[in-house]
Amino acid sequence: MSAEAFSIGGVAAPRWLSGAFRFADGAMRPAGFILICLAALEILARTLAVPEVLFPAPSRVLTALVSNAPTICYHAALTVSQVVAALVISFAVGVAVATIFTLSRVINDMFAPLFIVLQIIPKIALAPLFVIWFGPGGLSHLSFAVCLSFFPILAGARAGFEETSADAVRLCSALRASRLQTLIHVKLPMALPQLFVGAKVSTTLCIIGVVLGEFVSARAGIGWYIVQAAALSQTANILAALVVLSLFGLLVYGVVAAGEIVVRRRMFG
Amino acid sequence: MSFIRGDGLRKVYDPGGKAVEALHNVNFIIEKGEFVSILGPSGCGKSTLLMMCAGLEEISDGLLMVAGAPMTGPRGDVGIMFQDPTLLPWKTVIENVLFPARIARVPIEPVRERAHALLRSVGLHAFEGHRPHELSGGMRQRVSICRALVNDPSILLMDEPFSALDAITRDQMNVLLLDLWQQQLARTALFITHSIREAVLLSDRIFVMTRRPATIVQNVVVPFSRPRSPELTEDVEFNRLCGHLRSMIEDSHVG
Repeated sequence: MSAEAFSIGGVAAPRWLSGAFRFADGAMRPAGFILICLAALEILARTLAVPEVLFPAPSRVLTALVSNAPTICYHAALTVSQVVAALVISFAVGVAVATIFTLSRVINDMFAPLFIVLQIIPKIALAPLFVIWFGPGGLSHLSFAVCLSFFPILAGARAGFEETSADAVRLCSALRASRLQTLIHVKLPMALPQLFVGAKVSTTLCIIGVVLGEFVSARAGIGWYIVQAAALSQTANILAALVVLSLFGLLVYGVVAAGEIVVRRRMFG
Repeated sequence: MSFIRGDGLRKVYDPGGKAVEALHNVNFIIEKGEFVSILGPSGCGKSTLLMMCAGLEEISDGLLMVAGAPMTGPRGDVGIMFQDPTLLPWKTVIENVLFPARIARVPIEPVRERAHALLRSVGLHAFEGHRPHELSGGMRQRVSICRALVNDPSILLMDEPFSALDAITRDQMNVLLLDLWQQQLARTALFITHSIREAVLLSDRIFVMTRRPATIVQNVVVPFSRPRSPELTEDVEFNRLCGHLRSMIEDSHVG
C-alpha cells in the first residue's frame, strides 16, 4: 500500500486523518440544518404553547432523554444488538441463497421467481405470525427482521455475481475451474461492493423489523419502551427513545458504510 | 503432424429462432510450435474461432482436433489473453500471475519460480507486490501475458491483446512478445489481430478471414527467418508483404 499523505502546515498527516476531515466537512451541513430546525421547533412550541402531549419542545425531549438515559439506552442497546445479529444472519442467508442460485441453474429457475413473489407480500403483516411461530421473545423479532431484510443482500449478491466480467469467467472456464472455484476466486470478491450496497438497505430494514417485532410482542427493547410510553402519553419519552434509536441505528449504518469504503479502497484501489 | 486441425468448422448462433451463421466451412492446420495470426475485420468471427480452440465455444458442425484428440471442452493447458487484461483488482501482480496455478491446485512453489522469471523477462520484476490499479495499461497487459504463460501451456491463445493500447505501447508489446517467443517461453500460438504489421512481424503464417459468414480465404506464409528484430518493419520485403495482405483483405471484402 502506498502511504499517501497530505500536509497541514508542512506536517505530513496520515491518510485516515484526511478521511476524517472530509467526513467532518460532510457532516457539518446536515448537522447545522438539524440544529436550525430544532431551534425553530423550540421557538414554535414555546410561542404557540402547544400542549406537551401533542408536541413537546426539543428542550423537553432533551430533559426526558437525560433523566431516562439509563433506561432508554438499556432498551436501545437490546434492540440494536438484535439488529446487528439480524444483519449478520441476513448477510449469511442472502449470500448463501445467491450462491446456491449461481451454482445450480435448476434451483435458480425453480426458486428465484418465488423469491420475487415473496417480496410483493407486505411482509410487515406477517409480524404476528412470527410471534405465533417463535414465541413472544427475541427469536421472533430476529427471525422477522431477517425475513424482512435479507432480500436486498440476496439481490445485491446476485447482481454482483452477474456483473463479473465475462472475460474473467471465460478465463476460469478455460482453466477448467469448477463453478465453486470461479465463485470463490472471482465472483464473490467481485460482488462485494454490490453486497455492501444491499447491506446498507438491509440495515434500515433490520431496524424496522426488530422494532416492529417489539411493537407486536415483547418484554423489553426500544419498541416495547415506545409502546409503554405511548400508553402513558409520555410523548417526550417516545421522542427521546427515537433519538437514541436513531443514533444507534446511524452507528450500525456507519459501520456498514465504512466497511464498504474500506473494501472498495483495499480491493479495488 | 498437425497440432491443431479444423475440418469444415461451422458455427451457427440461434438468437430467437433466427439462425446467424458466424463461421462457414473453416479448414486449417497449425503445426506444433507455429505462431499463426488470424487477420480479419472486426466482428468477422475470429474470436469465435479462437474460443473454439479454447474449448469455450460449442462447435455447430465439423471437427476440431487438438493434439490428436477431438475438442470437446476446455483442455486446461491453454494460455489465454483477452483485449482487456482481466486482472483481479484485489490480487497483487504476482498473485494474478499465479492464478492459473491456484485454480489447477498444483504446488505453488515451483510455479512461483517460473512466475518470477516471466515477470523478470517482461521487466515487471520490481512490481510483483503492486496491484493492477497502480500499473499502466501496457504493464497490465504484460502481467496478463505472464499469467497466460505461467502454466507452460501447450497453446497460447490471444484475442486482439494489444488493440486497446496506444500505438507506442503496442509497438513495445509486439517487440516483447517477439522476444518471449524467441526465448521459447511459449510454444504454439494463435493470435487474433486486425493490424497487418503486427501479424507480419510476429507470425510464421497468417490466415486471412472474410466477413460473416466467415471463412479462411488465404493462408499466407511469412518468409522472414527468426530471430527477427523490430527493425524488420523497415525492410522493403516486409512492407511489400503488408501491402500484399492489405489488397488481399480489401479484395475479399468487396464480394
